[in-house]
Amino acid sequence: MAIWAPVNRTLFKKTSTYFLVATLCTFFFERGLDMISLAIFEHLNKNKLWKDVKDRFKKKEVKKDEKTCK
Amino acid sequence: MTSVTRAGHLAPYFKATSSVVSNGLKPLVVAHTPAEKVLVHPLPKTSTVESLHGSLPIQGLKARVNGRGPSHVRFAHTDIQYPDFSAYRRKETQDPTAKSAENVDGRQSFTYLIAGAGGVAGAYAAKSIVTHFVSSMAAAADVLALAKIEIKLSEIPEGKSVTFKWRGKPLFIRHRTANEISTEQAVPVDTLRDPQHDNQRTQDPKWLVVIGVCTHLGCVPVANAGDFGGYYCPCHGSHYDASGRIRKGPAPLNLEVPPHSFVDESLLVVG
Repeated sequence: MAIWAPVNRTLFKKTSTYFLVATLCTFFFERGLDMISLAIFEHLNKNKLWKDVKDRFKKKEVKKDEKTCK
Repeated sequence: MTSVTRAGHLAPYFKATSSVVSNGLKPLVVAHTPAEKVLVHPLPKTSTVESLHGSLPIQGLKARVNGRGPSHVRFAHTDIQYPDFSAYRRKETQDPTAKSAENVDGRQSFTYLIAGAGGVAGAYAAKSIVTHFVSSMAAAADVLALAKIEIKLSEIPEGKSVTFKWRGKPLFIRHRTANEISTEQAVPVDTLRDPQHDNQRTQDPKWLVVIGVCTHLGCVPVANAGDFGGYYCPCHGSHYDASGRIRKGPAPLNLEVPPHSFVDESLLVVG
């Protein structure tokens, strides 16, 4: 409560500052939610994503290029 | 006639008042005083909402005043039981001696935090929806990928302007000679109608990349023609120089330079 009371008085009492705080928090909330959801998605689709299988295909491409160059 | 004869019986009921003020003399007539009776209608049994409503003292007056006896309606207010809401009230406000300013922060915390969190989530949802619909209006990634063309520069000899088709428009790529480069670099910018230096229009001075649409009315100019050795629009006679800048004729602006980049020495990507 010692932390909460001054926050409540300075930020939440006035509607203008309350909206400002909500708007600022939205940026961090958006970034955090996007990062968490992306991490969950990548965890669920491990070894299926392009960044996981990229190495296998890259070698072939390099070989192809070498062939065409020769 | 019968009513007149019967008036004697009804006389007490027609009287406005039945009390007699003595004037010190012997009364001439002894007034008939009816027995004291209840002046107030008995309260109805409050079993339904309507009967409860009818018992309220907001209705028309139910007591007749005749000067004697009690004439006011007294509703008991000491023995009425009213419900106790203390189970629903906040603990901080139950003590009537406590100052509300001292515990207002604690009471507001839950409301403010829930409303704030809802506002943050709502703003995020609104932003996501708006972004989703606005970005659907933009060109798709596959369309944009097709809208790029790669040009092998080694196939264009020096001094020649080659035309390609790019996004449905003619695209001029000109391999400029050293003579043309020095001429265009030396043109004073303030004499031009659409002042742009040659360096602003080219990334590599050897290569000029412009969209081949005349800025006047949209004809396709002819390469290596006109008074300035660049492009000439046959429709209304606009002369462009070897940097695609308007020098003479009705066109208001220079030929448009599309976004382009040199991947390496011999490969140009436009788009």
